[in-house]
Amino acid sequence: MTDTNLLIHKESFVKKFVKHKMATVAFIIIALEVILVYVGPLIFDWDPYFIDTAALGAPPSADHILGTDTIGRDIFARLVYGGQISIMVGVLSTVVSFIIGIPLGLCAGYFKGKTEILVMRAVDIFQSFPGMVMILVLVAIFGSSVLTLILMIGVMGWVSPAKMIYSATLSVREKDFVDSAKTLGAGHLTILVRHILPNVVSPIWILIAFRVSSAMLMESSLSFLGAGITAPQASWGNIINAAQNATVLVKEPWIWLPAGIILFVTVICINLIGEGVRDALDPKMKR
Amino acid sequence: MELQKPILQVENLQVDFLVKKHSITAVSDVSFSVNRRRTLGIVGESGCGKSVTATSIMRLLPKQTSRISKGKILLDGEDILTKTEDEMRAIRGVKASMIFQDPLTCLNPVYTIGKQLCEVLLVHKLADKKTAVDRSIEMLNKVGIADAAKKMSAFPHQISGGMRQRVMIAMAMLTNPLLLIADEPTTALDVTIQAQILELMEKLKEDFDTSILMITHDMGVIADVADYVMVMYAGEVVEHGTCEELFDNPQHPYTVGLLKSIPRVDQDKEALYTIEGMVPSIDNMPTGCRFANRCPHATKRCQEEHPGLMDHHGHKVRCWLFEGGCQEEVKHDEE
Repeated sequence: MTDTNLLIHKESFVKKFVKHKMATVAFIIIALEVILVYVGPLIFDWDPYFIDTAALGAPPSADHILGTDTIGRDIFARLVYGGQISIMVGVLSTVVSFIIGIPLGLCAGYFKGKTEILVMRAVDIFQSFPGMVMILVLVAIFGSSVLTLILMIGVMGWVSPAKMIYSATLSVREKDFVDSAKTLGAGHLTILVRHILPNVVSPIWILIAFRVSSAMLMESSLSFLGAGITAPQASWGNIINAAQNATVLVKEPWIWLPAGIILFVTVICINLIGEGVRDALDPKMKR
Repeated sequence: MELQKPILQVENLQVDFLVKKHSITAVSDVSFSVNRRRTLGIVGESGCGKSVTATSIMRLLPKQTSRISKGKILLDGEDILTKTEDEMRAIRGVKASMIFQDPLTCLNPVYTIGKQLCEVLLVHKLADKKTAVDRSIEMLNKVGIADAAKKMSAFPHQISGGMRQRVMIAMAMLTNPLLLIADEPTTALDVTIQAQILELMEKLKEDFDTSILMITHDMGVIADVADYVMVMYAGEVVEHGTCEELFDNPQHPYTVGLLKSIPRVDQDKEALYTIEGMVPSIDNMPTGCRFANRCPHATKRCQEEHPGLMDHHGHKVRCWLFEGGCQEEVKHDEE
């Protein structure tokens, strides 16, 4: 931009995101984590299932940098493979939640009337269940696999995006530009997708992050309770599961502490990224 | 001039609102027509049915709560009220466009000006992407926006209020509509910009052969642009005539009151003239003349009998005084 045109102060998304320092750091941490978890095993020979009978519940050493669990499996390898599962469950179940929640919320807010009543009563019904107990029951019925876990956490999570989109849509549908679009001959679909959706998505970004992190926590909780990912498959939750044993909890913290820390750090980082993305995307936000 | 086929013809329009399952008449017995390249101004205070009338023409009244129960609306000879929603969508924005009071809220904040302009053409499949951009730039030039190509990439909040209204007008005129409905287009603008916008609309009307339906509560705006004026009060037309006729020789006491309440610099007055009282509420309309309780000339007859619209050489007035005041008036049996 050679001339100083006031109109071209449209900063790129990246530039704005980088201004949010915490989010940037969080992004780097998550990026490294994802690379380590998904690319690392392709390069290095980490085996989460190999049982080193010579080192049962051994503390960190040169052979096993984070030590081994009570039956001699390498903690670091299990963390890496467990990360694959945990991240996948977090992301995919969020996708499921949004695929269900966004269209329902949009339609409820835009069409009002019967659609609104139907969707919002469904929201009430879902909200009046304790999600965790519900999933435990469903796991008992359908069994627990990665796929069912993703679907169940996803379906249980449609409520918050639907509610958020619904309330944002209620206010946006009354905006003059919606009427204006109607007078210019736009149909319902055009108005919903082109005019309302872009105006209601910015709060969604932070919610995406929040859903991913809470789905990961949900998966960990379920695995911790033994209803999620089951051994020998690893997930961060079922690694922490070992801490149910009082001896492990007190005397062998290397088994469960790293998983706990990494889960904690990941959840915080994802939430920070959500915040950074929201601020960078919101055209009304001036920093 | 009068032999021309009118672009818009509204006959005995009645709009009902449904409030708690009761039907309430918001606009009744409104008839008017707009000829090619003419401007009809609709004036009246808030809640008198101006915007409802305009919205009816676009068929955009909320379906659950309102209904056009009587009358005909002919746009370019076609009856709008018999159209399906799909057919209406093809009419809106093509045959008739509308601009609103506040151009900032009418533009979608997340899209650039250019994108929103192009969309009008793309929605109606009137152009492909490239020609849409070219025509949008051309249109922006026509509405007097300098540096149009650059402004295409601006967001609505980055340009001034007057410029935004120009963009709205450009959007409305892009498809070269037969009728432009302007619902208080200058109310949110300051006076100098207002004059520019009105001048622009006047110019576009000539260039594009468009008719304008101008809704406002500003008598000054009406005097500036309108060829014909229709004064509405409490959901009815109370006076309808040419602009000169209405300003030089107002007949209805309400019109007289409106004209008196315009602030004037050349008169040294302490307080502005106001019309005493309030518009009667639509669910409790008086049986007689609707203006009777605020009218300085009201008689017993006004309280009891509802006056019809009386026509005197094209100057129509809904007032019993008018009946006595003119000798050779033609009485319409409308009631």
